[in-house]
Amino acid sequence: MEPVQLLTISRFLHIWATACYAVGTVAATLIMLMRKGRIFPVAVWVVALGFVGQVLLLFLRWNGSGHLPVTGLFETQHFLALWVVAGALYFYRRYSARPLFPAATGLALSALAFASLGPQRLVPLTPAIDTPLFLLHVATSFSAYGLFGVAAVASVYQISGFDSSGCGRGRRIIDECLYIGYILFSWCMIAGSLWAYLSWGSYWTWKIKGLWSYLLWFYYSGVLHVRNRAGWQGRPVSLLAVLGFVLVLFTYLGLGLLFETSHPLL
Amino acid sequence: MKPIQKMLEPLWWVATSPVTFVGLCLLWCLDLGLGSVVAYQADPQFSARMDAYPFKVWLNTVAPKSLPGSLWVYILVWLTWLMVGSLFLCTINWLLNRRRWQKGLGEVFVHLGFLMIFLGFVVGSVAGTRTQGIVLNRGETRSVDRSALTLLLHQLEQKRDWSGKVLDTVSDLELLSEGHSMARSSVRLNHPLIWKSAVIYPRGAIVTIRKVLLSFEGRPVGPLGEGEEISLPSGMSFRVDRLVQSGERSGYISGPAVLIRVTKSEGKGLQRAWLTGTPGNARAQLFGTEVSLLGEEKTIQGIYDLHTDPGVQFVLPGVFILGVGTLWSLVGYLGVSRRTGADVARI
Repeated sequence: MEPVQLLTISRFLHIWATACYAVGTVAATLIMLMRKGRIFPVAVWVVALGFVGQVLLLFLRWNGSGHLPVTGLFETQHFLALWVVAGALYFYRRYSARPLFPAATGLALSALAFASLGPQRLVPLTPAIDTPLFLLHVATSFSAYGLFGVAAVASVYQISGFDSSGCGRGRRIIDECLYIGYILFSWCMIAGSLWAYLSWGSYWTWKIKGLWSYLLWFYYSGVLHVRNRAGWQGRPVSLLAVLGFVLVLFTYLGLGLLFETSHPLL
Repeated sequence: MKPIQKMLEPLWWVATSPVTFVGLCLLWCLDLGLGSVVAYQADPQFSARMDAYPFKVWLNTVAPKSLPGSLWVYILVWLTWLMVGSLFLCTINWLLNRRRWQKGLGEVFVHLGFLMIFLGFVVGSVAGTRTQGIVLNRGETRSVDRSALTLLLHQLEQKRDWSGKVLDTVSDLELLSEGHSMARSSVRLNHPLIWKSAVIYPRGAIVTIRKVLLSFEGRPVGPLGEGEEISLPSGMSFRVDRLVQSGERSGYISGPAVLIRVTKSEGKGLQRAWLTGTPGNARAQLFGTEVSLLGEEKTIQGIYDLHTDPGVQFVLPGVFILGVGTLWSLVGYLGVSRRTGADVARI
């Protein structure tokens, strides 16, 4: 496929996914407010169509560039949104988590809106990041970010006194997101450290992005250790999950956009 | 209960409680987060300055000069020690009290992996060395300070794009220890030579122009080095006054460039011209005769950094154990999750 064609299809799929998530989010919210639970699957299907479009966009760009499309603001925001929606669809399927659904898709929608600000052209990889460890490092990082995002959304419900699942499984959703997200983030750090060691001869540097990634890792280590302790269950863990996602956003977007880092976004 | 036991029990509880570890984690995060941002604001290159030294050397010699700006790193070191202790005691206590061995073994591996990584970091910080800017000619051998290691550069080549811009420097490098070859490989950008705890990383090359070959009166002249002069059959003398190397400047002239001087017989006249390799500047007219630059004789030297980090011997197995632990935990978690599907308080 010609690069211009690819870019055109990529733009179309981006708009398609954004529109589907917008319609799905609004529809799910209205259905929830009007208590028309029977037609809730319509909103889910609309979001699922957007999800399919996003998956297609991912594969087209992967095929076009020859590498996992996770470089730059546009692609990373798409990857993040993909995992948030995957989480929302999974929890809807597993726990019928209806209240969580519009909030999570809304989060994905804002990520795609933000993605629109970034350049959409395909960029070849520099030799430094042209390695399978890069693929593993970034893929696990954004899947973890996505799950931490869903945990934060579910936590906001818990803090507000609502159950994100609608059937008493809200805590379970937070727990799953934190636990699996932590494991994925650990793999991200392992892959990143090995990659740095093989490429630059050092698994640790004092660069600010690396420091904050370790900070995030240790923060969620702490959260995992207290999440099942009696005094910390409920609201405290929910607050920690929300604060954790604020840290995620700062580490990913704040540092990437405001600081001169080894992981630039623009 | 004996009084001493009564006194130690709360201490043991504090030392082995996960909450202690969590509290230390939060303090560690706070210190690292605020400290790194403030340090970045004060000096965006702070990480490069820290990475240039083994951590222990930086702590002992560099950091005291920048106090209180580097206080956050000292606090970080103390908190890291406390976290290692807390993690160790917490794991021991958990192992002593656990009843079912298979379930939760993933978490044991995760803790063990973290402990080994911490241990490796400490060993690397204390016993690591950094030798930077080792310059080698082709075929040259150089021993590295404070180690029994020697570097031998077999070949060196610069890869260029179509415009002549240097993309990479490829070195065929051999590492010797007490005269015996330990490792040999092609070293280039992002592909260092790694042998046990030693890493040799290429930092590029120094290209030096030694002599230039010129054309004057239609005949080749040279090769001539800086300060060399020859007399021509026409009675004129020809001299290379100055060689400006790549990256150097002489007035408004940027290297690589050569300043030549032509003197008429018996000193009746003198003219000078700068010649560079760029189009339009490779030729000039002196006394009505064209002089041009035909070529340069260059030497190329490779620059290398050699780091040794004995802690890597602990970190790499630690990373492997951590990876196995997380995989085990994930499989265990998903298994429990599939079987129960319930809102479990403890997994």
